[in-house]
Amino acid sequence: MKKALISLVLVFALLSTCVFSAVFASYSASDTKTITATVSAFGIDSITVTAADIPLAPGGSDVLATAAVTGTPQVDVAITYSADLAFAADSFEIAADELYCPIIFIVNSVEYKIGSTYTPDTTPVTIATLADLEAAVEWAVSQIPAQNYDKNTTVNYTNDNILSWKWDTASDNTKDKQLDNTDKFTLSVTATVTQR
Amino acid sequence: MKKTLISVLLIVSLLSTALFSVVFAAYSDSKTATGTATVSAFNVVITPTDNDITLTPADTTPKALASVTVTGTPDVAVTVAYTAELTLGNWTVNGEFYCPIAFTIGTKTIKMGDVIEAENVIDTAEELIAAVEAELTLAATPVIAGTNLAGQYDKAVTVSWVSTDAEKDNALTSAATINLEITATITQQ
Repeated sequence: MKKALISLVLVFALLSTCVFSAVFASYSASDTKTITATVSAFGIDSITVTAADIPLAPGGSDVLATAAVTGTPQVDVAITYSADLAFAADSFEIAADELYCPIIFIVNSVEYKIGSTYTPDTTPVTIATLADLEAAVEWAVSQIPAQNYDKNTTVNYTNDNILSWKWDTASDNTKDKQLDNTDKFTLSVTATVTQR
Repeated sequence: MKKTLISVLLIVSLLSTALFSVVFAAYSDSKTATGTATVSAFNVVITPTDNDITLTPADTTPKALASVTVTGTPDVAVTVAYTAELTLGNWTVNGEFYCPIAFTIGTKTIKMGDVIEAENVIDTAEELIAAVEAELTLAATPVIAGTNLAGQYDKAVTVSWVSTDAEKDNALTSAATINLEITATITQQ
């Protein structure tokens, strides 16, 4: 009974506090701040990559892939590349399964061909097979320095020569003539624009 | 108490996942192009045929002396060229050049006494040699890629005895020789 009485008094006290608060609180002030959060548009209008079907012949040379990027990104972006090079089965094999590939790939002014070396990490690697050549070219393309653009910068970027090829000028004329249109490769080049 | 702690950890975990998701979500777009590069085959075969033959006054029908055939369909543009070098040895009777041989190249026959351009008559060894070599010579001729060369650039030379003087024929010896060298050159443009 005593506990019930105390509880009743306590409830009454709380209620009365609210009432008195309502009665005596007369000053009032308020302040509102509105923050608008807007999505920053990626703003890249187009990415165009070209990789034409081309003929290879002694004395020849040409660009293999180009890229163009336009837009006005509202975020910082970077343009990077990757490549997938694949020689057709048994390509560039002449008599007695001898590997003879006079094709030189050029990335960033560096030549990659059978017999040359490159250094993907701390150890130089000799390009001895077509698989090695594929790996070397793909690595080289991935190492093309990223093109960075700060946000709200107009991007009108073109790369007229991501990589190119040329027929080795020191090739063997007799072996050159043993190659034909079963000797070929397919190259896919990807240009990627990424927010950074 | 233990359940409360687990609940708190779970909430923190969810919140942190959301936070990191925000950090790592970034715009990205890419485009890929694929091309195929194929070796253009040269695909040209030059087949020379040379014959060691003997000639007598009885050989009035043509005998094959030399020929060159060019076959193939190159994937590349090429030029076709011919050069020829004819040497006539010891066709001399009584100190004078005497060569009763007719050279037939295609449909054209060339021999001593023929009238050539500007009404000049072939009456010296040099003129006979020049006329034969000129008929066999072809300046570098462009041929577009994919052209079947078979039958278009072949050269064949036959020789026959066209006697004009039996006495002089008899005076010739086996020292009289004909040496003809024909070179066909197919070059990628």
